Amino acid sequence: MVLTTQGKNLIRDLIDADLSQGELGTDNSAPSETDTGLGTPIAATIKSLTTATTDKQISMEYTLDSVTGNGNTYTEFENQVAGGGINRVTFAGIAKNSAMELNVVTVLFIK
Amino acid sequence: MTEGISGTIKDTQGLKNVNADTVPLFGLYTENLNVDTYTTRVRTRSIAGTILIWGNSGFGQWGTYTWGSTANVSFILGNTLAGILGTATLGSNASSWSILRVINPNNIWKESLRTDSFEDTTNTTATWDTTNFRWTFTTGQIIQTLAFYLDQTTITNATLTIDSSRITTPANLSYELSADGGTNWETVTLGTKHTFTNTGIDLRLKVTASGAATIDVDDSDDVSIPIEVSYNQ
Repeated sequence: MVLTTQGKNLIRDLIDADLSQGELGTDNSAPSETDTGLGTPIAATIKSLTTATTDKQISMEYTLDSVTGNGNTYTEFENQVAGGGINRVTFAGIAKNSAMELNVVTVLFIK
Repeated sequence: MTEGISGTIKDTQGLKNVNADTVPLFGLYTENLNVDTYTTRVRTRSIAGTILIWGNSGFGQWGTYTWGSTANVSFILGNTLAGILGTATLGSNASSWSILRVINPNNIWKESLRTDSFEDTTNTTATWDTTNFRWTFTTGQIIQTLAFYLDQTTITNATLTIDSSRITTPANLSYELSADGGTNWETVTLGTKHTFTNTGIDLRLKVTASGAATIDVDDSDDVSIPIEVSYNQ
């Protein structure tokens, strides 16, 4: 038995349909599989995701506009479905101000 | 895939008399399904200035800001090149997206060639094929990536791995990695950990062909792997 490419793409589509939003935070503790959310989420940064699918792959894109979430130094990001976060990533701090937009692109691959 | 014999028709407790039959077997099959997180890229673009961007609450102050003036992109009334209704837009972002951070789970970058997000289009001359998931080279051509790691931790070592069965004429290809954003390239061998002489925080890959070659990462089967670079392991 094999899981077909078509089957994997159908599973990809189920995941894609559930993806809803992204959020930034200011905690920089290392990400762990036991994480249940961002360390220090900033609620104002919750924005809808734009997704695109290719063969067995989903690309999730999040954009924070110039007038939102300013004055924070962001160090973590999470993609979310209705039930909570599905991944968390940390990075060197980015000081957000009104002269910039931020964009985060994450890729999931079904193997 | 794994399989195991779970029982026989005799286990159906008399639903069918199978004593005289050839006894078929039925089995339990399982299949692994993995969802990998690949690279996360954080980008920014600046909209500093006083350009009037229609619909933007920060840059849409009527009577204060002015329409953009980016040549041939913004809508400039009366300009024959930049005043095309339905094509040029009112106002403009002042810059294009630039990469701020690139982060990979477990310090492993994986490239399945589903997109060309990491293609350095300025320096790449070989074919980056996102339809057939392969790189195709003729003599002298190169594939060069953009940063697939860019953050605060200094990269001291890295290992490039490509399934050898996915490379045609492997003798025609040579591989280099740069940890300092392409300033210094260091030759690497597939599957061998390389310690950088020139460390840095911006990791990139270059593949150069001395003859025709392809790297095909179509993983329609379960065992093949994409192009991978692990670092600081």
